[in-house]
Amino acid sequence: MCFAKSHTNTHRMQRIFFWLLLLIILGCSKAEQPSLKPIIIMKTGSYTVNGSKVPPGGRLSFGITASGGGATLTNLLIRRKLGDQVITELDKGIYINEGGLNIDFTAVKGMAEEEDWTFMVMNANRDTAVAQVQVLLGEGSAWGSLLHFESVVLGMQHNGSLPNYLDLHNGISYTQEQVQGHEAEIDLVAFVYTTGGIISPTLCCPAYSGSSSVTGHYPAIAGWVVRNSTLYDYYTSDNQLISAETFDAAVNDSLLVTAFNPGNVSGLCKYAFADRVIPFRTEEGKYGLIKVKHADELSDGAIELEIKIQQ
Amino acid sequence: MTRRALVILTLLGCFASSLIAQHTAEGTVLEHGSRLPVAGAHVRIGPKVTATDLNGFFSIDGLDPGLQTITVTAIGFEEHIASLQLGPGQKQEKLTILLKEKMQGLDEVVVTATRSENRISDIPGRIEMISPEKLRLTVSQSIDEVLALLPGVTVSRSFGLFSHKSTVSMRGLGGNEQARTLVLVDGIPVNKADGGSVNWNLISMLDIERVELLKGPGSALYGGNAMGGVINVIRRKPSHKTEANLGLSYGTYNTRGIKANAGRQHNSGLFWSAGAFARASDGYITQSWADRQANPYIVKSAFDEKMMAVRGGYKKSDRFEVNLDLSVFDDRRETGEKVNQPHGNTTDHDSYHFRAAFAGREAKWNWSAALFYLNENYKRVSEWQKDDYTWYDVRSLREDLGLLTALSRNVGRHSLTAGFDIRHGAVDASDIYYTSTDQVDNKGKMRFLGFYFQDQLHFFDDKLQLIAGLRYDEALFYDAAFVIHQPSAETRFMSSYQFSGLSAQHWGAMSPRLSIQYKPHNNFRVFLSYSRGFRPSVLDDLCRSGRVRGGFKVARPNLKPESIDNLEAGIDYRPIEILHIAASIFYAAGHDFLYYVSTGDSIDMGFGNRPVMIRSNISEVNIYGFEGSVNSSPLSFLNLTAAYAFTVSKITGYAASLAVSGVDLTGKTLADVPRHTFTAGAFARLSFLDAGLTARYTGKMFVNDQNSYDDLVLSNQYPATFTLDLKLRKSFLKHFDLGFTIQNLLDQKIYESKGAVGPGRFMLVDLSCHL
Repeated sequence: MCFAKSHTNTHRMQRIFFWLLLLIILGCSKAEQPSLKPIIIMKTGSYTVNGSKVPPGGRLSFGITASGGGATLTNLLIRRKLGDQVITELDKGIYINEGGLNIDFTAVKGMAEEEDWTFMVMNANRDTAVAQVQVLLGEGSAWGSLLHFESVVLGMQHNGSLPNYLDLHNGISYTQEQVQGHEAEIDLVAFVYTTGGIISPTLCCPAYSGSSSVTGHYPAIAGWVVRNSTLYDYYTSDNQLISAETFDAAVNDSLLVTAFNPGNVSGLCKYAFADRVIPFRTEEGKYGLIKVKHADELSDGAIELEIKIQQ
Repeated sequence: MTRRALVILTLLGCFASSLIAQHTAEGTVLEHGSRLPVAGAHVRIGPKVTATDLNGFFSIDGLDPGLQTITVTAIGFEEHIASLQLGPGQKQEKLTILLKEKMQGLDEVVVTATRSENRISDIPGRIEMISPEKLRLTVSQSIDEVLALLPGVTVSRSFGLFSHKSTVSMRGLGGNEQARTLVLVDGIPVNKADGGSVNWNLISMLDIERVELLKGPGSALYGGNAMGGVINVIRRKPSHKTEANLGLSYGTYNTRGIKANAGRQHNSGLFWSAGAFARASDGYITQSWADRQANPYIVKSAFDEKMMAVRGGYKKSDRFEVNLDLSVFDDRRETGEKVNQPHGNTTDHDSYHFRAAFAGREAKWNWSAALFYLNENYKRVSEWQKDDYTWYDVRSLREDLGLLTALSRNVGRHSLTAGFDIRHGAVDASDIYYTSTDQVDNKGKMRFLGFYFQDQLHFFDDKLQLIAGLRYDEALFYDAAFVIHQPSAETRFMSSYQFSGLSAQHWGAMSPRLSIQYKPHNNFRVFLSYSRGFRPSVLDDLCRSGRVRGGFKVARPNLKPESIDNLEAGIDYRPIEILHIAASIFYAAGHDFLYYVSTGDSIDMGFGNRPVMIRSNISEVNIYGFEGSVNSSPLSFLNLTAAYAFTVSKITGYAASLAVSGVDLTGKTLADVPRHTFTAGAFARLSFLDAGLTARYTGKMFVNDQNSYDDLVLSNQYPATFTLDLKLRKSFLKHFDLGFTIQNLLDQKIYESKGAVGPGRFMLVDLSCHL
């Protein structure tokens, strides 16, 4: 009798153990997903390729195609190495699920004998792929001419009597009514708001969004099909690295290109006070400088700008 | 010989029949006035003890015939003692026991204040207790919301049910610092060493018996965090009859929930219970109107949470008891912005808590020991679109474990308690970026060893009571690191603040307590108490640098603890049977309070220069105030409460030499402390309906410690708020219970520090079935 009971208990224990083990095994096993690395391929043809010789000021054009290897592409990083100095030209967060990445990137050749360009993509698994292009210094000089707009006056967000929307490439500004049909040409608007306890005259591009985004001050922009992204070098502006005199002395696009530090850029440029000089790069890849001649600290005030941009 | 054998056999037969003919007593415990069942009442007949189920039913078998004493106790009711004659012919007794409601207060037995059972009236200090009755009729989606009705308690839960974080603080110590108030579940701490925070969402409302609050420092018994007070959530044990409950709820914003639990205490002494709940909601838009205009990625803040708990144990008598408990919690709370991720910006907590508690009595010694392990896998998904797309996850593994012990005995007029506690907390966290190459790691560990001793002296038949206690805690902070891998512009600005391989940091804290009470009779007492409390620095301040509101925070591994010396006096008076008045005044001097102060440096975090801030033990604080409450039951079915608290928390000394920014906080008021709060409640148990109506007024509070103007709040103070909540319950068909809740009846729009708005009026219907 005792033996029978013990035998039954043993069987019961064995069954429990078996099911527990099965549960643990099923719980622990995961379907292994094959992890593919991303792929990056540099385009050739009319693009700058490995070993190209380009004179200082000459245009570099890189074509980049990439796929995430089954995972979402999340980062594109472009670096230029000049001897020991490494400059991050672009470090862009992206989110590309399908179709892969296919973009062109333009830059201007500097004075270095050799420039080693590195192009890296990363996917959501943090796997990376890298391509490299070496560009050599060509003969002569290719610094270009610039366009100079001595005075552009824009209204702040609540100023309806002045134009508010600016095309940086030709210095044309538009009012709310006039801008219809020209949305794809707009690179800059201005507004005033309080940030960090300071009233800040601010420059912003149509593509910028976030807690102090452009659509909060210019709601109509939210409905635009094309919203250009202009990158302002706020670090140079905040630290006043370029004086008004240096700005005035620029006669070709050399300063416009070299002043722009891509490591500290944003579509929002706060504290655009008078005499600040702000390097920028437009969505088209044109470099330029803005000198603030006057800035009201009122939302119905105005801002006066002097602009130099690559022709 | 044969005759003698016959006599012996007859006697043995009688003895055996008396053994076999044991009795069963069963019945129902009802409330005297309303005749509603009283759940969780303790019924004792001779050596046998059980508890009533939700229908008030109990059953005790194996009773000897003869005269027995039946004792029934329930929180909120007067003790019922009666004689029970179990005749030789009767096998089963059917009983109906009516309990009279008791004025809540001085006669309640609590465990938090002394780490042993004591009546509130015997503890020289301010103890508050929330009874099951109040819990049943108070509007709350989580247990912390109930606490807001108590005087001097500040609950910060800006988004109600949709908050991923809630803070409960006491006695003017700042409404956003959970680390200054210790929270226990069945006596076991749940504040995390990482940030001092408590995940109130994972404390299930399913089986809470009562909540006890010890106001003022409790560090003399509990050590760290017990600076403003101690909150102890006590859970109910299952009754002798198998009980099962199933509940469904539905409310505003498509909020739906389901909960179930079951349990039983067996005659063998073994007991078990299991419970689970799941809740989800579509949520609402928390951001301000201006943010909605500016940000096209704003979505509703939805949530989804699940919790499961199993408990088991053994208790045959007071001589030995063991409780084992495992809770698992999983939630995901969306925070209102979605760009590319499936649920947008979210916070996730995957937590499990394991506790093993042992208690017993050996000779005249009562002893207890508890082991606990709390594990939280926290994940925050952050994404936004500004100039480009940014996406990173914060992944943080937080562990807290420990051993708590207590030994007590009564010797003459002394009730002695002593013990030691060991606690260990660790964090291992990473910010993992996907839209750039960065990974930022931080980790650290903190270990405490505390010894305590307390003597509670009784004089003149307990008319005079004295408690003297002392605790020493030794803390060790070690294995800390803050390291950045492959930095890009996202995190490069933090590179100079990296560290690893630091030598361990030690400090100690002594926490005395001395309290005296005079109680000439049961309707009156006065007490005077001095106690010291401390709060250790949290791991987040010791080993993590990163963005904070208004600047960049630098980790500081050598921070000292904050401490406070508290002096208070209190009075309890019951002029008539139906009225209880309680009042306390207190004065506290805080030392080495922690603040963020500017180092004078600034740093570019990718959107312009911001000040570099560092936590520093920088100021002295004076806090004083008054708390008063009135509790009355003018009718047997009606309970009325009202409470008022006045609190002033001033910064009195500020080590300006450390604050190179030139800011001097001397004379400023601590942020998030309302000067005036007023609460009132009416609770009625009618034969056809139960109802609870509660109101709370919270006065203005400063937004920041500088008491300066805030861009988002558009003032230096939050406006005063007034909220009214209503709860109705109806039991029907013996097994069903229907509830209707309206939270924030007047639909007040309550804004928090980032300008986000609360959920406004929130309604919920719930139906439960209990067997």
